[in-house]
Amino acid sequence: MTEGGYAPRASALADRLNAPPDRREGLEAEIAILLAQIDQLWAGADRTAMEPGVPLDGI
Amino acid sequence: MMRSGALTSVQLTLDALQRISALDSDLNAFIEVISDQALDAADAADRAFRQGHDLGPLQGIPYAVKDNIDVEGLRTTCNSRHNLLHRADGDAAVQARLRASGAVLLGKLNLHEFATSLPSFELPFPPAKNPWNRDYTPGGSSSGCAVAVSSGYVRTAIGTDTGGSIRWPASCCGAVGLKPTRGRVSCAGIHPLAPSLDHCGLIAWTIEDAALTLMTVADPDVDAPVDPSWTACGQPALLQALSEGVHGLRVALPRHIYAEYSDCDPEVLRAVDDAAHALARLGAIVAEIRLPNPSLVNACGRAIMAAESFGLYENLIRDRSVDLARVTYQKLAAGAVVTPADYRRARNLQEALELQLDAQVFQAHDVILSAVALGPPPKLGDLDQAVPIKLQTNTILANVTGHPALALPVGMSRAGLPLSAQLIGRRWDERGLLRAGQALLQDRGAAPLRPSLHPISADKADQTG
Repeated sequence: MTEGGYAPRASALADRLNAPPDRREGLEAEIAILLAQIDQLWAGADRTAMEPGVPLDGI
Repeated sequence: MMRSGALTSVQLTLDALQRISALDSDLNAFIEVISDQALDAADAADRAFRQGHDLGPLQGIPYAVKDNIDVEGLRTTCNSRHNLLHRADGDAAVQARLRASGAVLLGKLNLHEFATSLPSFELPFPPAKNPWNRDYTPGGSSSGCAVAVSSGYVRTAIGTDTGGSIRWPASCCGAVGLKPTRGRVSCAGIHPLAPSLDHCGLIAWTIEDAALTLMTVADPDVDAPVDPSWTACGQPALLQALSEGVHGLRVALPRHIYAEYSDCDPEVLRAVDDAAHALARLGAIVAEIRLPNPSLVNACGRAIMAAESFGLYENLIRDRSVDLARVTYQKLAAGAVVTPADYRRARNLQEALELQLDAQVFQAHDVILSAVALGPPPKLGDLDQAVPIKLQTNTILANVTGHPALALPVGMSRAGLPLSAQLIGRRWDERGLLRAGQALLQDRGAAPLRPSLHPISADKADQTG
């Protein structure tokens, strides 16, 4: 379940937290999602431009 | 009716307590019901009416609060084993305002542990059930608030919203959910999850109920600029504004933040599109816009929430993790990955988004219309899996920027669950938000739908459902 590139870091953090075995898989999945979001934060924090309004059409 | 003596608060409170007694052993909206204290408060409200004391629009009206809000003398469990013995030694600011208004507290309402995003069967109090279909969750984390309102126990309930925890359950249950502007309602005395995103707000049966509650709980000492139209107009003018309609209202429709997601339910898409058409037909000027990438907004909110909630609960996570449900542990412990630099980056982006929404959207538009959730709530049977369920909502933007946001029912799915839309308003302009919401609800045909409810195990069928 852990997102590919983030698996080793997620596993290492779960080790550091002494994650109980029955909680480990979900914790690693949550950490991997968060790591991906943090990378997105650094990659995309300057790209927040909004586009001006256009008349509603076609819905 | 209570002011004329045609109805007493004691009668109203007894009716609510009877309804709770008949239905809530299965729906699980309440963690604690305080019948005796409620009847004492109702009696006091009736006496005040008889003596000519008018304490405001909620005098004598039953309500309830989410169980992460302190009420003097009662437990604040946050639905966590860790907090079962915590007893509040004072009222939260919002509860103090309600107490002073003569409203009648019926008890404390169910929530997800520490107001996190998912329910669990591992918690001290079992998950609330969706009154429209008890196989589904009612959303959360203010699950009990939404169930208590949509089941007709109370007209209004006080909840909290850190990433959508008022709007999502209101949406799942067909109620009105209002997350006011950051700072409009004090969070003092409320157990925090992520202080930079936490808001106190309400779930109500109608827009009028929401307006009356907001006027009662709004912090009069708010340390921020306040829309003059709010303070100058006062109570009657706010209600009057609800009937002003939406002619000329400028509505921004960022359709891409829900429609471009493959898991956006077609029924949600149609319901929000229908709401846009309804507003246009009523005289609003609807324009499609693009907001910042919603994935980036979600990343910003999630990083802040993860870092701040880990900071608050680190000792518990490290030393007493068995006290937490698995899903809570997984959500909270993941925050250890956020570095101080990541957190600063997210907070800087939060500030940029706030300014951008003010400068680029609300200069040209009055409200933003979007979805609340992109799909139906999870089924109760799908909870407590090894890996937490993923949720897709449009809610966290308004927590990040602090703008007021309203969830309101705009239809029903083929499966018989409510469909909702979200309106986000200009900072401090809850009035404009409620006015637009009222126009949409009235366009649907006045009274909101109410689920037909019958006690599961009682012989006596519910006559009021």
